[in-house]
Amino acid sequence: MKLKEEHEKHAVTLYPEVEYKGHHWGMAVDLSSCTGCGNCSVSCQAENNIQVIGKEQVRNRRIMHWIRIDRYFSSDAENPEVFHQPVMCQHCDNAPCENVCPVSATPHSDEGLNQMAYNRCVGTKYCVNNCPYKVRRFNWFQYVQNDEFDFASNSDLGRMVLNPDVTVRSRGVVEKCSFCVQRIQEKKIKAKVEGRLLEDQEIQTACVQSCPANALVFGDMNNPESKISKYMKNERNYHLLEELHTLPSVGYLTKVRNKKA
Amino acid sequence: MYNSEVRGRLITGDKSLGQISREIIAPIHAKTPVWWYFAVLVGLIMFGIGGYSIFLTLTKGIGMWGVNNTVAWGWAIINFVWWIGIGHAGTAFSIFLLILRQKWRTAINRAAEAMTVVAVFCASLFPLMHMGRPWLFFYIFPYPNTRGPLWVNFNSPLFWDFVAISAYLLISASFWYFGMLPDFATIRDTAKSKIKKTVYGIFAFGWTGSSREWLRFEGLSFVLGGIAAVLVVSVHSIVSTDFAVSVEVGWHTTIFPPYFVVGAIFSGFAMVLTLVVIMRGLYKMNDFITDSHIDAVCRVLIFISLIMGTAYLTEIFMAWYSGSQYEIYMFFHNRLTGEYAFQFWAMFVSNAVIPQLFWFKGMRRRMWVVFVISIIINIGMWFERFNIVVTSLSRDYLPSTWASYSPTWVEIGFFVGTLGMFITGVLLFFRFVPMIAISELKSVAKFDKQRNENLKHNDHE
Amino acid sequence: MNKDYILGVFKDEESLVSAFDKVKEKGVLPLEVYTPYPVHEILEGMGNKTRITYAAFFYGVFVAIGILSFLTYAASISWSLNYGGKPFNSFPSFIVVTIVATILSITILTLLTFSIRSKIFPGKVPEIYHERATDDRFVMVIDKKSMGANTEAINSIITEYGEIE
Repeated sequence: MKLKEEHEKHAVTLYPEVEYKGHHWGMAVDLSSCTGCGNCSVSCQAENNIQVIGKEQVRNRRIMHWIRIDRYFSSDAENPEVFHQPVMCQHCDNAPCENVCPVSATPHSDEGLNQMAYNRCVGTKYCVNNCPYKVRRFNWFQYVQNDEFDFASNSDLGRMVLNPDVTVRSRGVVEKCSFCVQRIQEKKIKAKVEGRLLEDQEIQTACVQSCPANALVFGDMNNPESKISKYMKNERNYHLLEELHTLPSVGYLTKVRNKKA
Repeated sequence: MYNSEVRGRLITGDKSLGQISREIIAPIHAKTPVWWYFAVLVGLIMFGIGGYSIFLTLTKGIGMWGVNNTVAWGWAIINFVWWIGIGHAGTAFSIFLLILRQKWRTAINRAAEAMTVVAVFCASLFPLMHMGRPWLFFYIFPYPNTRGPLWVNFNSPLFWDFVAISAYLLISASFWYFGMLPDFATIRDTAKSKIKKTVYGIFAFGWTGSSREWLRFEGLSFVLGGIAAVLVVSVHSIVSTDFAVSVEVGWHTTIFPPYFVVGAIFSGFAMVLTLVVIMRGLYKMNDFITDSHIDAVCRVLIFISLIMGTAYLTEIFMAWYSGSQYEIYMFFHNRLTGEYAFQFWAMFVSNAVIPQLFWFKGMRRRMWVVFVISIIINIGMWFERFNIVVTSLSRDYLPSTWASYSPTWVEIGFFVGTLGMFITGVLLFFRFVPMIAISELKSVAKFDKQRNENLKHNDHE
Repeated sequence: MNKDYILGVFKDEESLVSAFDKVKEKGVLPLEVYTPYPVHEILEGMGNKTRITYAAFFYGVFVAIGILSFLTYAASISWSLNYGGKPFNSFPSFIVVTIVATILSITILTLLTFSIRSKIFPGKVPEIYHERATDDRFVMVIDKKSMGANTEAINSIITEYGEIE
């Protein structure tokens, strides 16, 4: 708590922060619930057409997962306590990656999403460098219809599993977690057609939907009644590297352990 | 107007104006020496290796390089900054020494400017090729289009960089070329062969040396000199913002713009020295590029080397003084010690320590020592860029993303290719272009003459 | 001689300048003087003025205003995008591009002006009075008509310092 107050005291800005008048999408991760099972990574991979790149490229530190699970170990090296933390794009309101893109391929949406326009991206990779969370992924090779990457997407049958709502990225472009923007849009359109407001928890991103421990929560932070707003107000809530003043839209609820004193 | 005193002889051997033209143009009219063909061949072979590396990168993707999700910029950006740094010498030489009214620059500035143009051209290849989709590079132009029009991000240091590098390439090339017009005219008027007369006649743009032309030429030099001085300082400051504007540990510092500009001039002067020593050795230009010229450049290098050392120490001090755990980790655990400690110490020793040998006159007088030290400085400056680009990226905020980086042969081949291009470019310059500014040298020849007359006068009294 | 001009050819700067001054005292201005490097006494003495520096200054002023307004228009009026929460009109970061692009435009425009005003362009056939004027001779071209009654005097001035060709 003290740390958080300390950070907030230092959070000064030269220019006014942007106000989001409509929705302001956000996500929260309850680290007490997270078991590090990796379901979120897998479902994200299926939902967002993330390519399989093979052992060698993984060894070269070129993974494509949009959500990864960081592990931290503490106490005894023989019998350590493990701490899992899923890290996806934090959709920062002051995103360091957005400022540095020369071709405007990654601006911020009115709903607080950090967007990625694949068609516009020329692949300078500056955003990859400038992301303190290192969640941006680069297509180092052509991973689809390429015999050198003879995995899921090299055959007609394999490509049948691709999600038609999501673009398949070509080589040389940067990609990252979009908060499943295709699902957000789908539900928004549905609500509009039906002439009603969006309900809380109506929109579920792939990772939220698949989390067996319900550790992930997605929703509109501008709606004070939503589950996400309550999570964000929780005193356990903190943001990753919040001292950088990137204003992430992802909150983490710190892990609580029951230990003997 | 204040003129600084001319130190030492600018030209040795009491040459007439005619002799000056003849001796400088000699390599152009002479038969091409065998070593020249040999060196060009070496340059072209290296260029071929680079061409093949570029081909692989273009056809398969940036994945051919050793870069990864954590260290997304590798050798390409290191080499880009390195070449741009070298490319700063020409303009810095001409402009700053022009402003300081240092007459000795006249013998060296042409070579320095030629080097600038070739080096900046080499440099500009890297940002283009390190793009994921280089065929779409034109997206960076803010041109009116049917997509809105969608403009570009004017806040991005890469956009500033793009404008700065294109401006620098165009300006240094035109500055160099227009400076050569009177010399091309000299070649045209002294050449015996018809082909040479025609070709250099075209290059000379019909220059005659009339007072009207000279008057405007002087005006032009004044304008270009004045604004290019701003340009030299701003271009490398902008290159430094590629790093300083980011949030990366060890990049996000306000010392970067001056540190980069000084570093650029440092590596550029070192490269000028390398080139000029070779020029003296191969073309016997000792009378024009005298020992005192070399001596002057060496003295400048001592001074800049001290600034570099101060900058390195300031960075380390500020890392500690900031109290930021990330900065402290970066400098004390990652740079000074750690995986890339060799590169850090190679940088420190070759940029801040070894050039101090130039304090000794004996070192400045021995051409081979000067040559070796100038090469060491260039290597040291390369390590400086490695140290900045790679160490910061490889160990930043979250330990889960830490990764090491080592280049593949494709990246190395690309670098070799630009070295080959530089060698070839410089050789073409030696062969076909007057390597010393003839008209400028003639205009300073009279200072030597006055000096001689003064000396004679004193003798009589 | 059927030429309507005479050439005074000198071997060094001092003789040229002395001869030039004396010819001018006689009230005759040479048509043109050709030198291997700029000689300031001649440039002043010929009475020509160049306004290229003023031209460059005004190019700079107009281009700088133009670029800054374009950036402001494009970023905050035409299609404003939110980059990392920065204000649309990020004036301080527009200055960077303005400076460099202004320098580039000044250079190109001034070079064009120089090229047009001095008639220096690729493919131009030069009017060469004396082949060594770009090498080691200083050449003064004097119109025979302008000499009038002073012909004798000027000829002797030139022969005193150099030669007539």
